[in-house]
Amino acid sequence: MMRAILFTILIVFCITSSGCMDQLDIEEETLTLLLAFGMNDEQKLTVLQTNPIFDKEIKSKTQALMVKSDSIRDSKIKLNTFTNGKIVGGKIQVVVMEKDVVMRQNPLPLMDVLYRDPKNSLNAAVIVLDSSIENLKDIVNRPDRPRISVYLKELVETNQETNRTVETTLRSFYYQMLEKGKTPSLTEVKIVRDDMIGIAGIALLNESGIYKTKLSENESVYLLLLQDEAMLPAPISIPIPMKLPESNAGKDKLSFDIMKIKHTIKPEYYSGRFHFTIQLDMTISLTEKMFLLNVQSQLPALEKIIAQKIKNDIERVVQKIQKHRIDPIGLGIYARAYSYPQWKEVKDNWGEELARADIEIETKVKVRSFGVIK
Amino acid sequence: MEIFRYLRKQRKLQSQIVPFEAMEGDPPKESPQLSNNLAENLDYLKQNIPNSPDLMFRTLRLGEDRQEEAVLVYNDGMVDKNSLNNNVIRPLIETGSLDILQCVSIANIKLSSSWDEIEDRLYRGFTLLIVDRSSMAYLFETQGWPQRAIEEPQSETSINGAHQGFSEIATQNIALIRRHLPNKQLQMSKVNVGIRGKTEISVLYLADVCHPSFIHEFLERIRRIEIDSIINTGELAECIEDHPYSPLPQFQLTERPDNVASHLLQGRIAAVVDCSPNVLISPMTFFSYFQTLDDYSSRWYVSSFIRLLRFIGFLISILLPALYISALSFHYELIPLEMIITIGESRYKVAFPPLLEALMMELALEMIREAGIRLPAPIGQTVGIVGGIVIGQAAVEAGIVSNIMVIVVSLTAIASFIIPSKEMGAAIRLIQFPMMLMAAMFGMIGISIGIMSLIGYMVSMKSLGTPYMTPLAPFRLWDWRDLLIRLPIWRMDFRPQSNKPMQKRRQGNIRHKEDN
Repeated sequence: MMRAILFTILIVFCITSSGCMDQLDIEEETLTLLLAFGMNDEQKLTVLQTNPIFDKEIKSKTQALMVKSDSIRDSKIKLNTFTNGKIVGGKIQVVVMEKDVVMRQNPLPLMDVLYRDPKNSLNAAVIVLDSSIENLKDIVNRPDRPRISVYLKELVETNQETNRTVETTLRSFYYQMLEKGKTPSLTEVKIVRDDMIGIAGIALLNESGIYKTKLSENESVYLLLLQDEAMLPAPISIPIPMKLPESNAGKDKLSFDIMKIKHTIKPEYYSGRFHFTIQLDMTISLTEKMFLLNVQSQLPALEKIIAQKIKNDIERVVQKIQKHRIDPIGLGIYARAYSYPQWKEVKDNWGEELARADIEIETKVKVRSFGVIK
Repeated sequence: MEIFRYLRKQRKLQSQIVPFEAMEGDPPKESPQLSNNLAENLDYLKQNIPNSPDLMFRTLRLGEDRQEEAVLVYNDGMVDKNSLNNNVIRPLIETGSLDILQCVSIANIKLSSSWDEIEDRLYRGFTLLIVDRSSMAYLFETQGWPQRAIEEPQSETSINGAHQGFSEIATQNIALIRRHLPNKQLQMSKVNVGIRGKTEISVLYLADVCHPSFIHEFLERIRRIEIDSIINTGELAECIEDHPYSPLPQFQLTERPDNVASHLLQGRIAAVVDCSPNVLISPMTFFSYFQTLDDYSSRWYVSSFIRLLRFIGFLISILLPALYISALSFHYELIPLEMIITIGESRYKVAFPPLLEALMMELALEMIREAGIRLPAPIGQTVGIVGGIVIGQAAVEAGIVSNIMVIVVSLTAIASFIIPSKEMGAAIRLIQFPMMLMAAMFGMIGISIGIMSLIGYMVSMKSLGTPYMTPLAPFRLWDWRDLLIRLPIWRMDFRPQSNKPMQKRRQGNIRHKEDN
C-alpha cells in the first residue's frame, strides 16, 4: 500500500514538475553561428550575427542581422525582435571583432557575456577583421558564398595547420588575456577585392588588449616556432642568397618542410636584465628549389645557409615583438619559472622588461631528404 | 484518496475468496476400486465418464472355450491403432489366453484396481482391459497421438549447430537431450502440475554438477503452483520466476536440445514441459542472454566480435531514441554543427515534437513487427513492404517524421533484433519507451536517472536465487572469460561460478600442449 502511494506521488511529481523549462527544439532556435562586432565613434557597438535558415523553401541559407546597441547582451535582445526563434549561442563558430575596436579598447569586457552563460560555446575562434562589419555582412549576404561562419572557422583551422595563423578560441583568449607572462595572439583576416575573405596573419595585442602589430602570414610560422606550437611538417619558403645566372634572376626560392624540431629555451638573469637563449634544432626535408645546385655535395653549406636565413627571419620577428612591448611567445612564463624574484618585480610591466631583454636565437638545420632525383 | 479506499476494499474482498477449489483431492479421498463384476465396472465407467464418444469399447471373449468376457476400453485418437490391433487385439483373439501378460506384446503393462489411476491413464492414451470376475484391470501403453516431425526451430536458427528442435512430446524432448548427454548423472524429477491438465514437468539436471539447492528450490516452486493447467512453458516461467513485475526475462526458453545440453553442462537446470516445444532453463544471468551456441562453434575472434556487437546493440536500442530526443530538445550543443543544420532542415517541416515523432515511429514499427508474426508468411511479406513505405521516405515527404528519425528508428530496431534471445529483445524494446519519456521530460539528466535506475534494478534482481548481474555484480573475474568476449574453448576450463557448480572443472587437457 505504501509503495502504491509512493509510486503515485512519484508519477504525479514527474508529470507536473517536468523540467521542460529549458526545453527548446532545434528547429525553433535561432542558432548564432557568427558573432561580429564593430564600434562607431560614439562608442556604440554594431553587432552582426548570422544564423542558418532551416526552411528549405527559402533560397538563402543564412540570415544576417545587424543592430546597433550598447552591449552584446543588449544586442541579443534587440536581435531577437527580428528572429522567429530564440537566439542561442551554443554553437557560435567565430567571434569577429573589427580591428578598429581592438585598436581603441580592450575587447574582453565587451565579450564578457559570452563567458557568463554555460551554454555558450567556448570553442569559437576569436578573429580580428581588418575591415568593417558592413563589408562582412555584404559577403554573408552574397548568394554564391558558403556559410561564412563555418567557412571562417574552417579557414582558421586549415591555416593553423599550415602555420599561417593561430587558432585562438574564446577560452584560450581568456587565458592569454589573464596570463601575465604572455600576451594575446589572434587570427587576423582581411577582405580582398570586396568578396574574398583570407588570412592576413596574426594580430598581436598587448597585455591590456590593445592591438599592437600584426605578423604577416609568412612571418606567422616563426612565431609558432618560437612558441613551440608549430604544426609539423611546417612548410617554409625562403630566398637563398647566392649568385644566380642572369637568366634565372629572382628564382632563388628554396622550399622545405620542417619535419622535426627540438625547442629549448634557456632563461637567465644577470647584469640587471633577462637573457633568453632559444635553441631550435630542425630536421628538414627539401621540397622545391628553383635554382640549379648539386645539393648532395653542397649539403653542409646549404644547411648553414638555411639555418642562418631562418635565424635572421626569427630575429626580425623577435625585434618586432620587443619593439611593441608585447610577449606573444610566452617568455614571461619561463622567466617566472626560472627567476621568480626578478620576475615578480617586473611582472606588471613585462612588455617593457622583455624589450630590454636579450634574446638570442640559435638554429641548427639538418637536411633529412631532398627528393627522389639528385 | 478515493482510489486507495477502493483498493483497500478490493483487497479485503480478495482475502475472502475461497482458495482455488481447495484442490479436489485435498485431503486425498480414497479412490474407488474396481469390482470383480464386469458389468458393474462398465456401468461405473459410463456413469463417470459420460458424453465421451471418443471412448471406445471392444468386447472380447477369452479363455479356452471363449467363456470369459473381457472389454477393451481406449480413447480413440489417443492410441496408436497399429499397436493396439497388432499387439493387443490380435494376440488376444488368436490365443484367447487369459494369461494376458504372456500373450500381449506390449512393453509396458500396468495392473491397477484404482479407478482414479485408470481414468487418468485412459486419457493419456493407455488401453484398458477389464476381464470379468477380476478386480484388476490391465493398462497397456498404446499411446499414439498426432505429432509432427522433428524440425529445426524457426525462431532459433543456428548456422553450425544441430538442426533438431524440440517437438511437443516430452519423452521425445528428453530423449533429444539425452542424446547429447548419455550419462547416468543426467537425472530427472517429474512433477505433475495442474488440477485439470496434470501437465507433466520433467526437471533435468546433472546430479554431480548442479547445486542441490537449485534443484530443491526449483522443484519446490513448481510443487507450490496451484493452477488449472500449464499449456506453455512461458506460463510455467511466469509462475515460478523471482520478479514477476520485471520486464526482463529471468529464465530462458529454448527449442534447441544442444542449447539445453550446453546449459546443463554449465550446471543449470532444465524443465521440459509436456505438450510444449520450449524447454525452460534456469538460473539465467543477464549476460547469458547475449550468448548463443553458435558462439562456441565459430572462431573465437569472430564470436567475440559478434558478442561485443550485441552489447553495443543493447545500448543502441535502449538509448538511441532517448538520446535523439534529448539532444534535439535540450542539448543541441552536443550535435556537430553540420548535423544540426541538416537536422534543422529536415525537422523544419515536421509538425510534431521529437518525442511524439519517435513514439509514432516506434509504435508503427512494433505494430508492423507484430502483424508480420501473426499473419501467414505470404501476407506477412506484404505487411513488411507496406510498413517499409510507412516508416520510410513517404512519411518523411509527408512531413510526419524527419529523415534522421527514420534512421534512428531503423537502427534501434536492427539493434534490438541482433540480441539472440527474443524475450530479452522484447524487453529492451519495451524499456526504450520509459527512456524516451524521461529524455523528453528531463533531457540527459532524465536518461542518466533512467540508466541508473535500470542498473540498480538489474543488480537487485535474482534468478532462482542467483544474482542477475553476475559476474559483473557480484564480481567474478573468472567468469569474464565468457562475458564480453569469448576466450578460446581451451581457456575455459571451469564452469561458470555464478551457477555454483559442485564440480568446478569441466575439462582438462584439451589441446595437446607442448611439454615444458
